[in-house]
Amino acid sequence: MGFIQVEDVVKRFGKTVALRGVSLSIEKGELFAILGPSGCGKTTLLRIIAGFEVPDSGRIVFEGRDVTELPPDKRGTVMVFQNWALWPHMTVYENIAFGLRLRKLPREEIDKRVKWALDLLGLRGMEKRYPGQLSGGQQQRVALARALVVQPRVLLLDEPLSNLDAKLRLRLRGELRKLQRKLGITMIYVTHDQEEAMSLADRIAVMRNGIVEEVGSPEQLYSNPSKLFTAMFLGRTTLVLGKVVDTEDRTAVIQLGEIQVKAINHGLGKGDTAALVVKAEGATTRQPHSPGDYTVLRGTVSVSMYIGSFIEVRLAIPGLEKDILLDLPSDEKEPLIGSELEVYVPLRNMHAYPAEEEIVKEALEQA
Amino acid sequence: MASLPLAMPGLVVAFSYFVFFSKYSLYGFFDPFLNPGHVLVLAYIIRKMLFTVRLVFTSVIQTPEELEEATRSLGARRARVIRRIVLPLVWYCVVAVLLPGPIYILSEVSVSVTIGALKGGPIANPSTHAVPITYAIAEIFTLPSVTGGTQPQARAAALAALLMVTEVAVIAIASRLARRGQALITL
Ligand SMILES: Nc1ncnc2c1ncn2[C@@H]1O[C@H](COP(=O)(O)OP(=O)(O)O)[C@@H](O)[C@H]1O
Ligand SMILES: [Mg+2]
Repeated sequence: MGFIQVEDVVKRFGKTVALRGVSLSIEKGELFAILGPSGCGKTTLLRIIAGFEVPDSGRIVFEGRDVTELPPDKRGTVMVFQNWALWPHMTVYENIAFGLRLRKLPREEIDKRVKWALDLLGLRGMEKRYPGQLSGGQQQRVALARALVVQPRVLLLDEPLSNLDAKLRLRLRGELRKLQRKLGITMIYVTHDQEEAMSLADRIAVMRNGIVEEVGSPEQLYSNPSKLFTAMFLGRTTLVLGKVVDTEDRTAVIQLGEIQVKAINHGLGKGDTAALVVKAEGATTRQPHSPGDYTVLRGTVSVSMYIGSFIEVRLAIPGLEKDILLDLPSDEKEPLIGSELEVYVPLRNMHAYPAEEEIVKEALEQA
Repeated sequence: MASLPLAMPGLVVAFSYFVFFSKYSLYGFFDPFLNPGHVLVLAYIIRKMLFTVRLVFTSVIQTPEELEEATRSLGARRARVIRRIVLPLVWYCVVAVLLPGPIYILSEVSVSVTIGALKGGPIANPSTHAVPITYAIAEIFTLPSVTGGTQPQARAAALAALLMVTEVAVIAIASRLARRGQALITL
């Protein structure tokens, strides 16, 4: 039994079904990320856990206690909003002290704790400012300080870094991780940014269209995703369709246009239509030391760009509708557009799944 | 439609107040002859109320829901959310929007009423009615010079200075309040 249990939660808004039966089990002290594209129901799920929405069916259980109908102020969870929701009529100090004042702590204790939070988040000297006088990054820290200072048993974060520029986002991400480790707070972190989820979380739940596709550690989900959507969503990937011509132990041989490739098999049988997900990284034109761990893609170069840390190549395979994205190491020769190319792709970056219609359709439309 | 009363010329309103109160409050608190200040203040409040009500209404609607939810999530009950977050926010919005224009009028009215109404005192001519301070200044200014004692022009000047100081004070206080409010508007 998890510290927080989400049990078969369904939530509709009129005709929209935001959640279609979500179940999760979150452990005490872990940083749990909920990852998925915009509109998949992440915020709705978080709001149900926080108590701002009541599910149509299903339960929320904290430490064995059903809290489904409990109002947000009685749950001991604190939420950090996407837009931070600082009170503009209160100073930084007042914002941070608010939760402590609610708890009727003695004045010296409040002052001590607010100073602790100010130091923790590098906000010393800003006590008297109003939120309107702070930069985005500073406001974000105040929002975190305001939540952390009350030492909640669960901290719920809804894309707290998405309104910041890339550089700041990266820095605060690191700080957040350190803080979580240091304080041992249970955090549920909602994001649509896969890198953010991977770098922060102990475990990730990948969501799509109101359901949880898969839960696992970042390494598990990235290196061996058991669901098509997870494979496609994590990393720089291309999804193409093929036919299974043979299956071996863990792998399948797939007819891809006019060539045959090998991929890790996730439940396909001979003759099935395969949705093949190819990760761009790890590809090389040099003959590898252990060719058995690789499969070869042969085609014509349609795009070749030197990006800096790698060379981005798009490979057109004869008979295949879509070009495959591959990243070659930047020390390799930049292939000429229009030339024939043989690329070795690590087998661990080739995953084949049953072709779930909805996902395939969406993926092919996007390209 | 709610703004329709604004189309009514001030003079018509003033006249109806005059008639109404001289009929129903003769010798009372709102007698326009005895206590013109009271009537004046009431009239201003009612005429400005319209703006305020509309403003409060829109600012309540526009208060982002998350600001309230953030409060709830930190452990506050609904009543406290309204008291500590919604009402102050509305108040600052109202102050911030109302201030730039009407505060000047308001300050002038209140100031002129309070100072001008000091009839019978040493400032205004005891024999005249209570008048707005600006009028009193003009009146005193045109009095003939006297021999010995303070010249009426000097008294007028002092009165004008007093008016200015009071107005500056009112505006200063108001803009302090407004600064918090303004921060909201520019959000
Ligand atoms: N209050 C609401 N009223 C109506 N529809 C809503 C409401 N909140 C969310 N939705 C819908 O539910 C779906 C999931 O929304 P949301 O949980 O906000 O997704 P995410 O946070 O993953 O972007 C969307 O289709 C959205 O339009
Ligand atoms: Mg969202």
